[in-house]
Amino acid sequence: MPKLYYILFLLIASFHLQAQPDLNKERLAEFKILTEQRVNDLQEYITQIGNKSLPIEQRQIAIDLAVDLFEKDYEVNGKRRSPYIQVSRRNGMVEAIPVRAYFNNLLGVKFDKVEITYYDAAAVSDFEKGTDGNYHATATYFQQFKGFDNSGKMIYGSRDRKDIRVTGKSMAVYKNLGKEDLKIFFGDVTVRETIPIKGY
Amino acid sequence: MRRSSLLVLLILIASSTIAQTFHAILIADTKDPVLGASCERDLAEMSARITDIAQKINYQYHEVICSNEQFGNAGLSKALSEINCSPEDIVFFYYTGHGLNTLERSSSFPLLYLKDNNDTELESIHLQLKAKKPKFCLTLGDCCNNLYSDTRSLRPVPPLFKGIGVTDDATIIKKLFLETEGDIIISSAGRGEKATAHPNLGSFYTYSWMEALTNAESNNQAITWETFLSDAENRLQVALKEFPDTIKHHSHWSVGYKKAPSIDPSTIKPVVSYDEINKFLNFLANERIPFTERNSIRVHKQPIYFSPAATVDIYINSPEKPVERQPVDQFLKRIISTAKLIDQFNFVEKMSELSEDGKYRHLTLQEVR
Repeated sequence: MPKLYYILFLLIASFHLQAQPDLNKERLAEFKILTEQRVNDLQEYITQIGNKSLPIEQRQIAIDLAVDLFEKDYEVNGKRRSPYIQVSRRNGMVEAIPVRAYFNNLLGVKFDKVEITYYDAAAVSDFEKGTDGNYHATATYFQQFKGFDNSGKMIYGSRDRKDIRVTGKSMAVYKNLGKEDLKIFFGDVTVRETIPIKGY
Repeated sequence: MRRSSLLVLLILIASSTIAQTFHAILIADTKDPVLGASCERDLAEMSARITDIAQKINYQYHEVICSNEQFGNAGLSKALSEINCSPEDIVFFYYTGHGLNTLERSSSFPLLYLKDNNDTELESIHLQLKAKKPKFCLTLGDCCNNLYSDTRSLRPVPPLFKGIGVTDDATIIKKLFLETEGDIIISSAGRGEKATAHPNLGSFYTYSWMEALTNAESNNQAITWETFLSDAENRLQVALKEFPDTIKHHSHWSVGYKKAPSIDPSTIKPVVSYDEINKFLNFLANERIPFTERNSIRVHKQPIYFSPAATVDIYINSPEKPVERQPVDQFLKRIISTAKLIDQFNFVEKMSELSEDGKYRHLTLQEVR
């Protein structure tokens, strides 16, 4: 009897893995375009959240939209945890902050004025199917951060190259419609390189 | 007896073929040093488009082109004289070139600027063609309508490529061209306005008009001339949004229906027409309008147009294969927040769903960036 349960379990598990769609190159290319668009959206949200001259309502909406791009949580070593965003500090350390806290911190940042710009086009790698049955890619963007005091003097500036872990998961909502498709989520954002702006 | 029946049948077939002709007079100022290349492009695109329409509605196509050396008074008169209509015929007159208006005239439609004559009224050509008593007479003038003899502007910014393909489905074309009886006259610019063109890509209004037609063919379930022309106008404004207000122009038209395209009475009537949805979405994505203004329109219109749990499918290449589904609230907030990244929306009416109360509970659309 236990053997039968075991076989049943294996059958269900293998069905679950096979249930993930095998997407053709053209379809994966469309999801790559979508991912590039959502990375551009994220960059725009970050710029707006940090811009103290914009209405607070606009900045709050940008936070909600930015958070919606990320997975709620995901499994690491058998435990579920929220995605984080790494930031580089003035002392050269890198700190990981949960997604919503990162955006809330940016909203209340202590500089009188903040300018966040992007100095190179974001790039997304091709999606590849992982052993978990999901599709994975990495998006890279190049962010320049400048903080100013109330006299307009720049008191901190850095340039970061950041990677976003991107996951394409099969979504039941499309399956119900007979459409096997992916839903794109962002995961952890990692600082790969920090280039200080000279003098800061 | 049998032979005479056959003869009658052949005469009937022959007369029904002759009775159904789509006449097109296409006038283009292809030799103009400024507009020539743009008019050349307009002419080629419009000719191909109208040929396709005639084929789709099974009409014989009779085309008279007036360009190069024929672009003058004699050429126009000859073209008009070549049109002999039967009651089931359709007549289309298209002009692309320079135009003007004068303070003395009260008409809101322009004068055409032919090589040897600049006092030919678009409206009077329309009346001459209408007097030939076709089933449907459509006149379109894509030219300046300003109050002095200035040249039509060439703009450096290209119109956008929207990525919608021509479909084989003739339902919408049949509604517009077969079910309509009466006449319509269209001008690409209002009284006092200058029209715009791009040297390689053609006139902005002609481009928008054809784009609206292609989009409606692919995406619509129902259509009227008013919604179609409003959508072409919306698209013109999207194409011109980068320009200062002083050089924007607005199309206008006059419709004289004897019979309008039918609407299936069994379908739920939407609270808002497809062109209004396109206009609403493109307004929200116009970064030149302040965020607070766009957001307040969003808050006001969202509950009028959409059910509370409405969803939006966004596609890149094919409406049947969306890449993302979003709740409508999240979608609308997103487009006002990322307006500067978005060029345009194409709403797919026939893949969208209405609730019983006529509000949209599901939208399918293309977001062009």
